[in-house]
Amino acid sequence: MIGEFTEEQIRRYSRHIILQEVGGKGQHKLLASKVLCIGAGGLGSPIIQYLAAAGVGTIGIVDDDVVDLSNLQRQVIHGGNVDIPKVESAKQYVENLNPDVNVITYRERIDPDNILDIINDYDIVVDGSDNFATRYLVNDACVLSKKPLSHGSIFRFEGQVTTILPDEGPCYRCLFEHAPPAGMVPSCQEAGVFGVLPGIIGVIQATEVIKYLLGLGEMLVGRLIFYDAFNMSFDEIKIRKNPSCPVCGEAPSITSIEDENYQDGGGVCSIG
Amino acid sequence: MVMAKIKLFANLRESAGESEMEMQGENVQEILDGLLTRFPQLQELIFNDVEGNRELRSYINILINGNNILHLEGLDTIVNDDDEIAIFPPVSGG
Repeated sequence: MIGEFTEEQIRRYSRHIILQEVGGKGQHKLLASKVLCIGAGGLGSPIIQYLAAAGVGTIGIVDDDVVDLSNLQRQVIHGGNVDIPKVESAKQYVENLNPDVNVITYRERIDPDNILDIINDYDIVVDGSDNFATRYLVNDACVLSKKPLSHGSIFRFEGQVTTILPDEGPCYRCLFEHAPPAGMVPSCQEAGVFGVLPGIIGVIQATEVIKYLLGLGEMLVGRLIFYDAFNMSFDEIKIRKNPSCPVCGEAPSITSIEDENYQDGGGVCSIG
Repeated sequence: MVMAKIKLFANLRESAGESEMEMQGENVQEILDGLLTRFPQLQELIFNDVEGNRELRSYINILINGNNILHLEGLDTIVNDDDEIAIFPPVSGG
């Protein structure tokens, strides 16, 4: 297998190739893999960085926003790109880091009309979005399409992260059946966010994605990790499949992607 | 009297102004009653008011030592000394 790499690739990926658990075979798998990143913000930045560095061959990036100066406190891939669309800025970053990666950009919001078509082309989806409506939409579309999903979300000094393998473990709705109504969770622009926090959570998500692609180790399925930067503590909670889950339960009420299930973006937290 | 440790997360923590506290009670219901007496502002964040009856909000999770009370005896779940009760909502930032 080593023979199929260019000399530059052998050098670039040498620290993976000499790892027995990855090897040339694993590196080829990564180069042949396709990962969709929803959001190129606080979580998306480290996710995109490490997937690109690892040589994930195709990275799709969905984001409709442009880089704002207030993003740079945590969105580490967008330096020097204020006012440029985040997908373009992210693409530039990846091309500089690793020319082996093909970046596919979607400068749009993921919505009930486009999500199934977009996720269909990918091996796994990583959710780094910034609002409940999108998070529930991504969960439901992944469950209905049997697509693996890495979930990460943040609030002030705290992060929550889990991996969803439909059919194998619980989904996001098993744990949080519906989004909180608008106004129940304070806006994150008011609440603020500790800049390094999404770095930690996003890197855990990237770790899970790469392990999944390589078929390595123990996945974060049926477990939710809470990270608290303030007290520097990790809590792990077991989560189980909920038999009455509206999307993956025994008698699901959500069997297709319909607009009305994603109207209430309650507690929209636009800290991207 | 049983004394359990409570950990609040996200906006519950922010609203209470504290992340960890000890509370007395024989079961989850009594522990929550104590919590709401001390922090009445948590009432509407944790419960729905359905025609005068309190109902746990569907997105609020209460865990005892990492196990969801929904998979135990719900609000009647017995609490033992030194149990750790975590109460958390989802968060959405990215």
